[in-house]
Amino acid sequence: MADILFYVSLILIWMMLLYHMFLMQGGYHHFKTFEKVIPQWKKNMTDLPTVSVFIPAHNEEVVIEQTLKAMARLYYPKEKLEVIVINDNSSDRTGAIAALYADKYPFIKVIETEEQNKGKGKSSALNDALQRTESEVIVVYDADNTPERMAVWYLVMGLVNDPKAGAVVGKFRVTNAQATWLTKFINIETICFQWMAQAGRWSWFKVATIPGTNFAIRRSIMKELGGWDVKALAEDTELTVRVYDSGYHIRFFPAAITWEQEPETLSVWWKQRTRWARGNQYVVLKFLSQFFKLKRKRIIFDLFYFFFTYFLFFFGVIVSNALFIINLFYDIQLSVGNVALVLWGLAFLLFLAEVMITLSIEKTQMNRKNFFNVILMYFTYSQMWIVLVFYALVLETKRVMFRQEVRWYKTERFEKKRGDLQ
Amino acid sequence: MYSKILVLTGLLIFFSWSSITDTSSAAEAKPTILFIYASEKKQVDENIHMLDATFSAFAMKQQVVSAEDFTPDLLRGTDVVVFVGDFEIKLPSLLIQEIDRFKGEIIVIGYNGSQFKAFNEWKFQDEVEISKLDNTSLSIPMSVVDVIPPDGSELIEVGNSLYAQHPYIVKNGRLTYIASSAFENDQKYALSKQMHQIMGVKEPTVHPAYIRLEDISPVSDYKLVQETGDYLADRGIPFYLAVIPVYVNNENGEKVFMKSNQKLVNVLRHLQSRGGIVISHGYTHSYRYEETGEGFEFWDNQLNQKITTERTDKLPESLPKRESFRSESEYRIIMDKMDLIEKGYIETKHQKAIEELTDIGLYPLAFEAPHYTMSSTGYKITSNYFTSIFGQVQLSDEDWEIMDAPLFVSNPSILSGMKLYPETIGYVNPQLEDPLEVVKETVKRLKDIPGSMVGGFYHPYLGMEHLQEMLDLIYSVGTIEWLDLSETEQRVQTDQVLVHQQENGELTVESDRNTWKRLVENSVDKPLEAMLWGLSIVVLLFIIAFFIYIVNLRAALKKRLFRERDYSG
Repeated sequence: MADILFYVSLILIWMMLLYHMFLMQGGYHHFKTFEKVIPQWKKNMTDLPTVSVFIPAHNEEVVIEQTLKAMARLYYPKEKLEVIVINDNSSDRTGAIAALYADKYPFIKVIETEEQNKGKGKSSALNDALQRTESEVIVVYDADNTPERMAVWYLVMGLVNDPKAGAVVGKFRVTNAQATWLTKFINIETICFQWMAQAGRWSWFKVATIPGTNFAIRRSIMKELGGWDVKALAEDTELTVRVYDSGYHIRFFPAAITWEQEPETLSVWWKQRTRWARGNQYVVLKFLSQFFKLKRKRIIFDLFYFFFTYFLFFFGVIVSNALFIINLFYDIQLSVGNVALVLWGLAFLLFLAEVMITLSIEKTQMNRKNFFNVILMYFTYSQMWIVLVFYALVLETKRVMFRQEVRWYKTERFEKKRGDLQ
Repeated sequence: MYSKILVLTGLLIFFSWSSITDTSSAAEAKPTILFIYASEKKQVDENIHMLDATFSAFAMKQQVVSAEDFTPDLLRGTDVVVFVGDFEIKLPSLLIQEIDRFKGEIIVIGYNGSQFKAFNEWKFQDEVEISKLDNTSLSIPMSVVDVIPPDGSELIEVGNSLYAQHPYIVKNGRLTYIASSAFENDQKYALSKQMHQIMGVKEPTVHPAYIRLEDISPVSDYKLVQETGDYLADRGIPFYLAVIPVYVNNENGEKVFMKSNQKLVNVLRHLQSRGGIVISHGYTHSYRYEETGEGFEFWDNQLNQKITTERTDKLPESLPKRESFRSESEYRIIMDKMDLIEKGYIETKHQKAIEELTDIGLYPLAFEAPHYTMSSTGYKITSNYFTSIFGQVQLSDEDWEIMDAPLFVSNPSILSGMKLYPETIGYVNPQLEDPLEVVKETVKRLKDIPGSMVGGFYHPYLGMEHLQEMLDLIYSVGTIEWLDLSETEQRVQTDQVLVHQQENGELTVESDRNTWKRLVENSVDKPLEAMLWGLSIVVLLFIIAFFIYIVNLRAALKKRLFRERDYSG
């Protein structure tokens, strides 16, 4: 019995690890090749589409100014660009600060969400702006983002040159990576996510996920899809699935770079991640139940991936940990021999290697300090994930059982201190 | 140091002495025997098997044939004819004619003696019941042919009925008559006691003897094995290690391999280097999910028949009886098919056992069937792998409980050429009030049987408690000569392995088994674990590739820094 459980959990865990190994290979390949098309694509950047940059903002006075500063510097023909701050039910100075910039730069505008969309969360705010604009392309940035000068230009470049691309997503970097030990880990995590999950999946399956920020999407598709799903906690994942289902793909184009803030304290991190976990669990359950209705099966990979992450892999980890602990106190007669130890060692090495590749891709990130951070991360940050998923599962179960309404938690922002930028 | 030298010289003296006695007993030329039996429908029962076995011990070569199948050319080169009349039949005239012409020694046992001319002067009367044999009361009274031998005959052994004494073994010149072919325990001792006289050879003064450490499996306590083995080695006793290379858990059928218990392997190799001789005691000592060391391996115990399927998850059908077929040929077709399955099964087991033992440096010189059970076809297959067998012999293909062993080292024809080193005294059984009760009784009887083998076994899990007592009992039989297989010729072989022991003590082991072959075998045995190892290798290759990427990326770092500045504007 214990043996069967052990093997099942081992297989579940390793299916996940192998998948990531496979993704890493793809990610590395994409890194080596994605720039090659740029010179050719540049030539097609003549008849540019009109672009609306949406910045949903709810009480963002801490960060909105630097965001707009970055927006003002954007490289894109100004007659074809509008930056729209969607001031959603803010009770602070967000609107006032934004208005200052709107006065100064004609292509920056501030709108207030209309009554039916007010204070309902990010999806509602975006839908509000969608109804009130007419540009051909929509770009979304979170209010804490400071995109690099060329970001929007590259996003649009992807859309212009790839007619099958419904959306193009760029990569993001962390502004406050050095702020606390938590942001150090998150920084490493986000780099891994982008080069393994995003670049890897794009390279192998032409699949990427909309990350909620730093992406461009065609208005025609948004219209076809009827806007953002206001019930989704992870509106980005949800949108991703629907874009694929409508027959388009989402291109990962890491030339478009933005910088964003990450939670500096555990409690903020906890709330944000709980929302993601619950949101993704929601998406998995929503689409798995209508599995056969999905027209485009490619995205099933992704749904299955989430299903694995939040259910199967999680189960495997819990079981194998439980067996390990029980085994310490009580002989449950596991027959598996040295190979289990070897595999554990390899899993750790694989983790190290993968993280180090992605850090090396991000040039300066691969230094001695980060090397030790990575090791430390495996035993701390990575393990916190287990508790988090468990907690999120409990919340989701409760929600389904008691038909609770979801509340959108907006990530708290932190004031930028000197030296945060790298 | 001093004590070491003492032990060493002691050993030397012992060995030189034992080899002297060995050559002296081998010097006597043994006769060639033709063993003819008359039975109902040519069937060979346990009596015939045991007589065959016992006489074979005194033959250089012994051929066995039924009265019906006898051909005159068989007599060519024959010194002694042994005729067993197990059943009253009219003998073929060809046989009678040829035997009448035969000039050598003739030994007739049981019925049909009157049909031979040579016995014209003997008067065979009706059967009588005797209740005493060799002055010992029989456990069951037996019926013997009441014979009146010619004058001048020598009564070698007599039996007693209530009223009179009756000849049991009589010798007259070149003729010998034994009044019954019955060969139960009492008759075995009575006849074996007189065998030297019957065959006209000098009675030896020594008893060959052996002690086997039994049922050593991968879950055996290596300390106890070492303790008992070293104890015997310290006393200069060449002892035997009955090793089972795989332990099968009786609850879930899981296997534990000997090679995974490195400590025990080391102990066994150490004992082997000290004169311990490895015997292959089956591969798993089990057929269905039965506890290793408890279960049968080469016999279907539940149906009490030979192995008819390799599938152990459900019970196969019982072997059909001859009666349910219209013709012998139809019956044979089915039985041949079954035999083929048994053959495949046994061959795999032997092959694996021998190869896995030699893989870990243990060189089996003989075989011992778990519970001594095996069909006659099984023995035939086994003889392709081993030249010697230890224990007792299953004498029937219908019932495993019909088993026995002669009291001498012999070549029973049922073993298809394999030499039998019989187990004659049993073992220490902790479940008995006196664990050595059986041993005590048998050694007492063996004292009277010249040249009889004193062979028994001991379970190492018992520790030291009864070992010395067991040895004392063996020594109590008389002068003991410990059997040393490393001074005999033995060949144990599979397609890939040959273990060749020569009489001069030289042991050669040839093996075609390389690491790759073993690896493949292991993966068949443990597919899941093999898969995991395969996975490990794949992952390792990726990790290596990944580290190469890292080095690459670091090497190109500066170049990349400039390039990004370029396209980020």
